[in-house]
This record gives sequence, C-alpha cells and structure tokens, in this order.
Amino acid sequence: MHCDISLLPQLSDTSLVINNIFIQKQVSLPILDSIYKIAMILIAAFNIAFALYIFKVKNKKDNDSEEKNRRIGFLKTLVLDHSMIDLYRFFSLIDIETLRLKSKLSKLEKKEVNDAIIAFGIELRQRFIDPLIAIDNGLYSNVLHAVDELIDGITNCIYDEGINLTHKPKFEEQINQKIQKTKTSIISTLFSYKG
Amino acid sequence: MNNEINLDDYRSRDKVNKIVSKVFTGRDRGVVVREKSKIDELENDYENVRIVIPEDIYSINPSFFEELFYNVVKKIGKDEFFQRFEIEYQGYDFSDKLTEAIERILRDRNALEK
Repeated sequence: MHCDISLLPQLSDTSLVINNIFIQKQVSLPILDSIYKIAMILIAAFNIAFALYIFKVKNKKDNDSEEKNRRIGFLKTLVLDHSMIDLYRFFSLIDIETLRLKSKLSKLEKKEVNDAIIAFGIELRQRFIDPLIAIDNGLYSNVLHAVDELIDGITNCIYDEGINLTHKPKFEEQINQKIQKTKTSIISTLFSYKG
Repeated sequence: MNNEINLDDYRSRDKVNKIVSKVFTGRDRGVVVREKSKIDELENDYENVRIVIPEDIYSINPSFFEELFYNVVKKIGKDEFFQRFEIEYQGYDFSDKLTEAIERILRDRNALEK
C-alpha cells in the first residue's frame, strides 16, 4: 500500500486534534458530572421545600375549615336548636303590640307601645343575641343592628306627626313590611352563616 | 367649653316645616352627637359631666345611647360612669334604655378583649 508521505503532517495534525479533544473530554467529564450532581441536589431540595410548602398550606386550610365547621356547629347547637323560639316570640310580640298603632292613640298610649317594643328588644338581646358573641362577633353585630333598626324605625314612625298609621296602607308600608323584612333578613343571616 | 351637654342643642330640626324631633334614635345620630358635643373630651377634662334631657323628649333609644357613650363607658366602666356623669331629666324615664346601652357597650368590650 502506497503511503503518501506528504499527507503525514496533515495526519499528524488531525491526530493531535483528536488527541486534544479526547484529553479535553477527559478533563470536562468530571466537571459535567459535578454539575449534574449539583443540579440533582438542587432539584431534590426544591422538591422537599415545595412539598413542605404544600403541606403547610393544606394544613392551614384544613384548620380553617375545621374552625368554620366548629362555629357552624355551635350556631346550630347553641342557637338554632334552642333559641329560635325566642326570635319568633319577639316578632309575634312586636306584631301584636304594633296593631295598637292602627287606632288613634294618646301620648301616653304611644309611649306604652314604644316602651313595650323597646323592652321586647332588650329581652331578645339578652336571650337570643348575646349568645351569638360566643360564635362570631360579626354575626352578633349584624343581628343586633337589624333589630335596632327595626325598633328605631317604629319609634320614629310613632312620633312622626307626618305619618298617619291609622291609614291602612301607610301602616302596612311603615310597620308591617319593615317587621317582615327584618325577620327575613335575620333568619337568612343565621341560616346562610358559613363560619 | 363647659361640662354640660344639653341634648336640646342636638335635635334634628326640619327648618322648612319647623318641626323639631322629639326622639333620639339610631347609631348614626349617636355618633353625630358624640362628636359634636365632644363628650369624650369633656370626660377627659372634667371630673363631672352633666347631660340635660329636654322636657319634651318622647324617646331615647338604646342604640343612640350606645353610640353616644361608647368611648366613655369603654374607658371608665359602668360604676365610674354613673359616679361622674349626672343625667338631668324631667319626666322621661330613660333608665332602662341607658342601662341596656351600657350593658351592650361592656359586652362589646369583653367580646373584643377575647
């Protein structure tokens, strides 16, 4: 086989290049290996941190959910099962007492009606509304304010000389409808309570 | 500024029909009168404070009293309130409404302190 001597330098250069590449590869392999290992460690660390984060978030969600369920349970046990009768009684008493306003009343009679509805409100606060503090301050405030608004509204009507409650439609609008609206609102607030 | 608050100064007045309100109701009204009368400052500056209820008042509801006295009762409590605040009235029996208001304030205070 004839070997062209002129090619020898080129061959030698090529082998040198190949050698260099091989040597470089030998040097770069450990570096690549290290980079690979570091990357694996970082990925593992991230996975652990992420798993811990998910665990914490889920735990908090579970605790919050448990707390809400506990409050709903309290509302049912403390209030809905035992005290709703007081709420219905309050509205019955208000209904009956305000019927007197359909007749023309003296100052003293108006005072009697007004004092009576305020007294009913005080009794309701003591028997029904106060226990709501044990469950939720917001619930307590909402129900108390609704009752106050009703009672204040009736007081204002009683003593407003521009409102004639002996006129049936006016009585219906200023008294009856307000009573029904408040009753619906409070019952709705209680039964839609989500903790 | 003296240590007297006359509720007559804080009545709602309809200037057109010349009607003066004979009731004090509602939290909003209570807040307005509390701020205008500067009752919280009076409590701070004076040992005794006098509240005058006009003769022709028909009703002062607990919601009004509750807001009017809210800061004062929260700060000094029921006993000191009755020692330092003299309420002058003629005829209108407001005691049960005032007691109701104070009980509510103290209950609010206790609820918030939990």
